[in-house]
Formats: sequence, structure tokens, C-alpha cells
Amino acid sequence: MTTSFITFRRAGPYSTVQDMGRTGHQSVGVPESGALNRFALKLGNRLVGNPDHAAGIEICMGGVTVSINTTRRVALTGTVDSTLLITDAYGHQMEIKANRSVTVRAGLSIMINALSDTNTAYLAVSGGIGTPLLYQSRSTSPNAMIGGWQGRCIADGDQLPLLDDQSADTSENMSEWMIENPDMFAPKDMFRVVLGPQDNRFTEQAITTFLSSEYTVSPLLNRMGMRLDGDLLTHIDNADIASDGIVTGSIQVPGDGMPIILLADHQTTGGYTKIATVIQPDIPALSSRKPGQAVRFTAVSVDEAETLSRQAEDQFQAMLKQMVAPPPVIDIASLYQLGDTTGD
Amino acid sequence: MAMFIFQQLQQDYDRRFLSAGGHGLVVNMDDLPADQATKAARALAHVIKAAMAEQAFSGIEDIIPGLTNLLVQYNPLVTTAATLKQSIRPMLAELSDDVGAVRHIRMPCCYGGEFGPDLDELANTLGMSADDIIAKHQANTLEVAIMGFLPGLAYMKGVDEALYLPRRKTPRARVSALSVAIAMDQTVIYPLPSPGGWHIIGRIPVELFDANKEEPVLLKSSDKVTFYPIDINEYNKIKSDYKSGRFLIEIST
Repeated sequence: MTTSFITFRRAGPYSTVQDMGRTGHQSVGVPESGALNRFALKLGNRLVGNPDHAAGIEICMGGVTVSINTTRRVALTGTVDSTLLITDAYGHQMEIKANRSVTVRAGLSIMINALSDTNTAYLAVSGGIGTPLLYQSRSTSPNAMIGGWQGRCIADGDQLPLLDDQSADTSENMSEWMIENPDMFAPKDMFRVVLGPQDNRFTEQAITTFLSSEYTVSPLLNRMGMRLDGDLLTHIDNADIASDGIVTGSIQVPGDGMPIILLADHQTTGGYTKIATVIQPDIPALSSRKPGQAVRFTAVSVDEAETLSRQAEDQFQAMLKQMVAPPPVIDIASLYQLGDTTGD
Repeated sequence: MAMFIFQQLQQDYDRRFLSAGGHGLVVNMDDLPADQATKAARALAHVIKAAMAEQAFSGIEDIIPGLTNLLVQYNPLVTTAATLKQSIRPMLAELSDDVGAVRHIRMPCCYGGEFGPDLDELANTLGMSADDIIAKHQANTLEVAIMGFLPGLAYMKGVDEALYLPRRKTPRARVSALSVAIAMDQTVIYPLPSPGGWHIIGRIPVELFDANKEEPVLLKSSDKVTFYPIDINEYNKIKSDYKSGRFLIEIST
């Protein structure tokens, strides 16, 4: 049996293997990790016929070119406007929209240019990425140097193993899918938060400022956290607390008064005050924000946050139910094979 | 074993339960003295885990003890903060310091030299010899208060008061993996190369986090840890024996 792998001709600035994360081990310092935009990776997996927990490639900013040595279905998700550019050995090119799967013949080049409407997108491959499991997850946590491909971001020239695509063994016509309305992935700038757990350590003015002013995503952005620029948030006394646990979405404000939203690879404990927490269903859209873009906050109660989580899941499931067969794409590989028969 | 009951936990403390979004519930114990709060948070984690094993809870994703609170991360599609509070409140009333069997770990450490670049400066600042520092560091049995920061990193409390010092004014950009460092009443060992502001006094020859092992993490909350000194030859031997599986860390319960 031949080993299938995906080769990164250009890896992009911060591409990693991600799945739904290794939840449940933060008490020994292991970050939860996993896709920043869980909805997008799950959708990608559904489009290519994978289980939800299959690992895909999280792409940051874009600039990625890959090829796969076996025929596979792929899908780009987490974006509305960006596309896959598929090129054969003759330079024939076709452009495939996001949020649909497409069957790509072995060896063709698959390119994702600079992402236009998001900072984070996902490339799902049928079968899924086959890097080793650690605590039941293949997710990469580059700062903790664990998971994914050698515990690090993918580099130019890396070849990552793929798991077998069970559905591909016999069928030349692997089923392709698309969603018609990817509105769920449209950009947003307003994010809902629950105040606390240390909102009592800030002045009333700081809380008002936090909820009324516009912040900008700083270039200091990675999978651990998103630093924001904007109005200072003043502590009553200081920014230090007895170190405690952190959830993804926690907004930490250290002594300099500038908020940092902690993302999937955040350190498991921290010693700075946390003014609020972005609610779970808003984290995917938050992680789509690019440096320089605006971010604003509005407060909701815990009950509302929990209800909004359930509503977002219902919306996502409803979207999955609307998966349809996409219009056929012209298979350039068979076109040039046809051409070959005439000789040259 | 003494079963201390955390009776000082106030019945009607208005900051007992705090919110970390709609997916995290903080059980705050900062009405207790700090060291008691750490123990109470760990004890509550123990009780909740036992209840989870009996399927008494659904929707809890992770339980993370902090120095003065316990963070319960939950799945809002399965449970709610209100439901969790209802189950946790009665647990607080009966909380003891029983966290199950406590492990005792003997940890080899090669002090000083290139492994302990801060030892001499520390000796100067504290007005004692480097040997005194080493002797004091290994004399006390430390306790893992919490884990965090990096996989396998343990914050160990109980360092001899004579060694208390704040962190370095300027943190190092890079501390070598497996460096042993002290600050205030604590010792840490860095599992990976990392930036760090603690005073580095030595290095251990074994891994704190080994992804290839069935149980990747060596140290855990509540573990008791005693350091013992080894020289550079022993360090090299243990390091290579550890890699080939011929050296096992001493763990007793």
C-alpha cells in the first residue's frame, strides 16, 4: 500500500495541524489547543466526508501551496471569498470556491493565496492528516512544542502523512458537497462577553471604556492570544492575581492596561486580572479578525451566553443540513489525458 | 491522615462563584488564607473528579486548580453554570483536605556550574555560600501547589525561608530545558526552553513531559518533591540511563 502524504511547497507563515483539541489536561499544564474556528474545520471535514474530529490544516493569512500524492477530496473553509487554485503540470488552472469539496487528482498543485476576508482558514483533506495522537488529539501547540508535525508550525518542504480515505478506494466519483449560504463565516466586529472573573479589580470607568470603545487587533497575534490596541483600562490597585486557570476567550489585562484575548493555545494558568470572557460561539469569528481590524465588545449574562452557544450550534447544524451537490467542475486532468491521445 | 475540614469557607460569600464566559465557572476560595485556598481548590477538584467517575456530572470538560480558586470548564451545550453550582455547593460544605494518595518523588539535581548560572549571584545576595543554598534547597520537602504555564511545569511550594528572593529584575530570554529555579517560596523546573525570570540553580537529568510515554507528565498537583544532589558524572549517567529506560525516578506513596 502506498503511503499518502501532503507536501507543502509553500507552508505559509503559521500553518499548523489542528483538530478539535486535547481538552481535559490543563491541570497538568497542557494547553487545550485545536482549531481556532471549530465551526469552519468541522464544516470542512463534513464536506470531504471526514468525521468531525479529523485533523486538517489551519492556515493563517494564506500563501500556502500543497500537493497530495493520491487523489483526494479537499475543501477550503473559514472564508467566504478566498478560493483554491488548482494547477496541473501543464499550467492549466481552475479556481474552486470556498465551502465546497472538490476531487483533486494526485500531484496537482493546490494553492491558497493571501486570505482576503479572514485571518484564519482551513484546508480539509479526505481521510484527514495522520500526524501522531497525543492525548487523543493531533492538534499542534507550537509554544508548548507538542502535537501536530514535530510540535511546530509547518515549514516549506514538509511532507505530512494522511490517513486512508475509506471512501476513495473504489469510487472514481467521490461525493462532493457544498453549502449554499456560508453567512455564518461573514466577518463581524462586535463580540459578546461575560464580565469577570476579575472585573471587580477595574475602575467603573475602565468597564465603561472596555464596553464602549473600539479596539484594534495588534500585529502581535498568534494562536496563544490576540493583543488589542486602544483605550487604556485602569486597575483599581494593580494587575496581579494569585495564578489561576484560564478559558479560551478570557480577556487578560496586564499592568500596561491593554487587553489580550487568550486563544486556543493559551497558557493554562496566568497571574493577570481578567476583565471579561468572549463567549464561546463568538470565538470563531473573533479568530477571523486580522491585524488592524476593529473589535468591539458588548456584555451579556451567563444565561444569555449559554443560550447563545446552543443557538449557534443549532444554526451550524441547520447549515450542515443544507449541504448540496455542487455544480460539476471541469476535470483538467482528464482533459489533458484526452489531449495526450492525439500525440505531439 | 488528618482530615482537615475547610470550615472557614464562609456560607454566604458573595464572590464564591465567578464567571469565565458561558463556558467556565470559577469556584473562588479566596476567603481562606492563601495556602488553605490552594489546598481547598485541589480538594474540590478531587471531589468533582470522583463524582464525574460516578457519572454524577455531565458536560464538565476540564477542572483546573489555581492558587485560590478552581476553574470548571464546561460545555454549554450539555450543562449550565446554574446546574453545576447546585451540585458543587453541598460539596463545599463537606470539603476535607483528602486528595487521595499523595506521591513522594525524589528528584536528582545537578546544582551549580553551567547548569546553575545564578547560584553564585544568589549566594552573594543572600550572604551565604553556594553549598549552603544547595543544602537548604534539598533539605525541605516541597509540595506541588499547582501546575501550569507549560506542559508538565509544577509550581512547588515550601522552599526554605532563608532562600526567599523576588524574581530577577530582568527575565532571561531563554532558560534551558529542565533548569531548576527558585523565587519567593517556590521552586519550578522548566520542562522546555522558555523565557524565565526565576533564579536558576541547577538542572535535572529526566524529562518532565514526554509525549512518547503513556503518562507524559511526571509531576502532578499535591505531589511531595525532595531534591537530592548529583554531580556532573551522575547527571550524564542518569540522563543516558533515563533515555534507555534503565533509570526510573523514585516515586513512593
